[in-house]
Amino acid sequence: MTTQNKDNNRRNFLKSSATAIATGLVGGSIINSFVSCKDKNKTEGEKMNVLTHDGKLVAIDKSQMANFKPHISDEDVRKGIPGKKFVMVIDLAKCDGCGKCTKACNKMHYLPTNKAWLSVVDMQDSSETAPYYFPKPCMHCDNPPCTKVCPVGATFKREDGIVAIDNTRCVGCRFCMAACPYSVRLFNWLEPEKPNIVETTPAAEHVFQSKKGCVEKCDFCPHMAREGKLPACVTGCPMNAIWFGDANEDAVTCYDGTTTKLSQLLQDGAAYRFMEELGTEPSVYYLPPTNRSYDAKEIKIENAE
Amino acid sequence: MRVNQKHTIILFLFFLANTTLFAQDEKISGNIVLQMGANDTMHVVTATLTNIATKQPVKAVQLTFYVQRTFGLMKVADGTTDTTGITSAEFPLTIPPGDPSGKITVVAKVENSDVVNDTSFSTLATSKIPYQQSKKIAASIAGSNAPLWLIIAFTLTVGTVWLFFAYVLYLVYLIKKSAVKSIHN
Amino acid sequence: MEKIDQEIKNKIQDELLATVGKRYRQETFWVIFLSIICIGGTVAWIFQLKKGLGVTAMRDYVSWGLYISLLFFFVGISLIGALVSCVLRLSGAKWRYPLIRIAEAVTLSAIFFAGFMPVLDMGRPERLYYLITHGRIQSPILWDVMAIATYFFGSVIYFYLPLIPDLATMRDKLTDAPKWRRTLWKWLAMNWTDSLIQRKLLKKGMFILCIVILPVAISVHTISAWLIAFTLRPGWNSTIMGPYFVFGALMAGAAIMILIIAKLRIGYRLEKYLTAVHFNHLGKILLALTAFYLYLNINKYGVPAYKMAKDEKPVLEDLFFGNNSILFWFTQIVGIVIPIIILSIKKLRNTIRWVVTSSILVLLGALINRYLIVVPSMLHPFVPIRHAQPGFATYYPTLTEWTITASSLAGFLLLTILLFKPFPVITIWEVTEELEKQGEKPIGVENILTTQNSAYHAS
Repeated sequence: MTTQNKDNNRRNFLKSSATAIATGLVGGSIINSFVSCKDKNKTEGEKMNVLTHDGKLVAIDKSQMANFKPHISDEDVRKGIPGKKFVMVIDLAKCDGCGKCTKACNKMHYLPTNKAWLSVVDMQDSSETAPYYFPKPCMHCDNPPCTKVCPVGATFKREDGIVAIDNTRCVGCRFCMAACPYSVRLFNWLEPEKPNIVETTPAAEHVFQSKKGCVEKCDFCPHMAREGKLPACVTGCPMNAIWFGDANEDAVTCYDGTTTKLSQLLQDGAAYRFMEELGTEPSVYYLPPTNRSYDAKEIKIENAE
Repeated sequence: MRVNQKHTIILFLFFLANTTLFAQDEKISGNIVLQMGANDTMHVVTATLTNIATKQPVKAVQLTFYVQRTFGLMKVADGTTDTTGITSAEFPLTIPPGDPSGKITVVAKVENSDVVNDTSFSTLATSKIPYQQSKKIAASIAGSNAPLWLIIAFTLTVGTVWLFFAYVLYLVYLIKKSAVKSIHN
Repeated sequence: MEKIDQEIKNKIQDELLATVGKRYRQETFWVIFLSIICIGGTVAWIFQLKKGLGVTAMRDYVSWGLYISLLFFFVGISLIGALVSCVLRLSGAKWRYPLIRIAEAVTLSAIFFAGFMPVLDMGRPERLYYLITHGRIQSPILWDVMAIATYFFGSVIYFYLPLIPDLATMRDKLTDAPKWRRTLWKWLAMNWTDSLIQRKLLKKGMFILCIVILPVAISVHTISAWLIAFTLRPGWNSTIMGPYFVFGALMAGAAIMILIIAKLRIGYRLEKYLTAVHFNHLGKILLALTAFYLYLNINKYGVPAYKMAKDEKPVLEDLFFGNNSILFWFTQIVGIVIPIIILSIKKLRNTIRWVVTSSILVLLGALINRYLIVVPSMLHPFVPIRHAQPGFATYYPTLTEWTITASSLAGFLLLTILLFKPFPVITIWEVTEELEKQGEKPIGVENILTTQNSAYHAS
């Protein structure tokens, strides 16, 4: 039933977007999506770049905006994708620290280079043990310390496991940042540079989440998952180090499309979760960095302090 | 099922028309028919591979069996067709379904064969594991709605204190009241 | 019970009412000076609102800084009201009478700014009302908001109740004041005729409030402590936080009380009412609280330091030997140990100057200590900081941030002064009532205070 509805919605949507494209293309070309929105005048016949829910940029006339109704409601977003429980598995043995996951993520979410939702941390537990690269996305904990403390429910745990942020709700108290033991949350200290796109989905599933005075972080790309597509970091990792999938289906998929049984992967790889002792129950699993496919000695640990 | 099959055949005829013109002549186009069965612990999938043109079984072709997942096809088994064009394979009944119908989509594929062009066929099977409804993650304080005990405790504590405040303000009112009386007397 | 000589009563009333509406040169200077700082702070705040919190030195690692430290400081000194009006009341200390209104005024203005600091720290203060429309009571912030609001409201009532008889005195005596003032006093005095019933009702109200406000006051500070103790951060993840904050608060509150009465005593010429005895008593209280705070500090830092667990180690090393070590040892030695030594010596404790000196040290230590509670833990998260952008792995507050911080402190002092202004700073009726109970004695509270070490009168 749900899939049928979704298909219907999609068909209606495609119909409306087709008319929109037709009218939009008469007037002009697609505006560069990175043009700053500061210099735009709100005039008739202005073109807008609309990011459709299937990840396409469509230039349309501004008067056609009404045709772009969100295909999911605010409640859908708060509830999550039905029947899913998203998990990520990161194979530390394969990660050579190239940082392409961060780049792909930043591209997907229009983040500047000085921000990283997914940062690759060089880790060394002690001077005698081997260093390794540690990609650190949001752990999407099942017992999230951040959603516990949010005073307004701006960050919330969805039934599909995703911890999302609604930046139309966030008051910017930054309690969640203090509460997060993984330091994955970022704050928009100044006005972020906005891409010239308009999104029709509810705020918590926006591709571009930066808003002055609000918190943002890795969101597991729910807009992609709704389309059955992998998050940007997975499709951006040429080492096949990041797996993503649905725990309810007991399957995870990586960059080259290989899909494998999640339980088997966790068992065979002796997977662990980061800082399990904190009881946060993360949704991200790590496979220990054994038999690495790169030279561990080349990692240089740079201490910030 | 039957409708599905016809569709596939028509599709493949289209394909045939296209591929025979440009592809190498030695490859033939195949058609796979899947039949699902099960024993106590395993799904048993039986595939029959035939030549679309001659309707003859094709032997000694490697078939791979997949289960459709959200983000890709998960390989569960493989097999090689015998002289009757049939191969069968088993995979565990415990593969969970991906949609509310409780069914799993099983896909058989011929990939990189020397004899047959790449082809695939999919069918539905019933999983032994029920579909996972979105279940509440047990995190009472982390969740969106406050647990009842917290609401009661919060309201009671705050309410009691404010009731005392109200009572003290009532006493102030009484102070005013009592003075009026004494003035009148 | 002998009736007090009406003449003496009148004299006390006149003396204490003298401060109402009167302008003092030094006071005017302070009001203007503090107002200028506040205006500067407002400008800085507008700048911060426009640009975003990026104008501060707070970044993704140190996401809480001076503002939240100051929140803890203000919540701390707001506890003084509860100390004077409840703890001293319940312990039957008679010398507290002249202190009640001063303590409540400090409490009121401190709790007001405690409520204001989080707003300064918010990324989107225009969404403040979401706390009501979308509030989640699972969050300690909601508890804190509720506790601060409750404590503020309770303190307003507690400020008002003992004011009723004094307002009546003002209504009756200050007949040459502007009309609107007299109307206001008349309205606020609630037809007070000093009848027996009214006195009984007033005492009852004050007693109830005294009992109720104590748990509220403690909850305010405990919940503020929970804001950081409820997180998993090294240095914060500790069960001692609640009591640590409460006693640190009482200590800071006692210190600021001493400083304020020292200033008022000279400035408002209240030497007869705020005597060396008060400084002696408050000095003793400060000594006890400081000593207990030292004990809590040993527990808070000593226990994890003995274990030196992996996660706690960087925070503790930063405090003991690192960048923050100067501040840390300053708070411990200058802010705690030296005041303990000064106050332990009876000779020094009996001199106002030394009590005031140690109060300044304690207060300064307490202020820095709030900063040391907040910032070092944020600089040492579980996941080590790597490849941090410049300015992200350190915290040096910017000018804007200092301006806003300074103006919050200035605003607190200003509000306190302004609360002293429209009313007599000392509860007249309680002082005269105490005199009545003591029988006719020569004027001057000093004499009363020396004779009442043992007697306890249920009030």
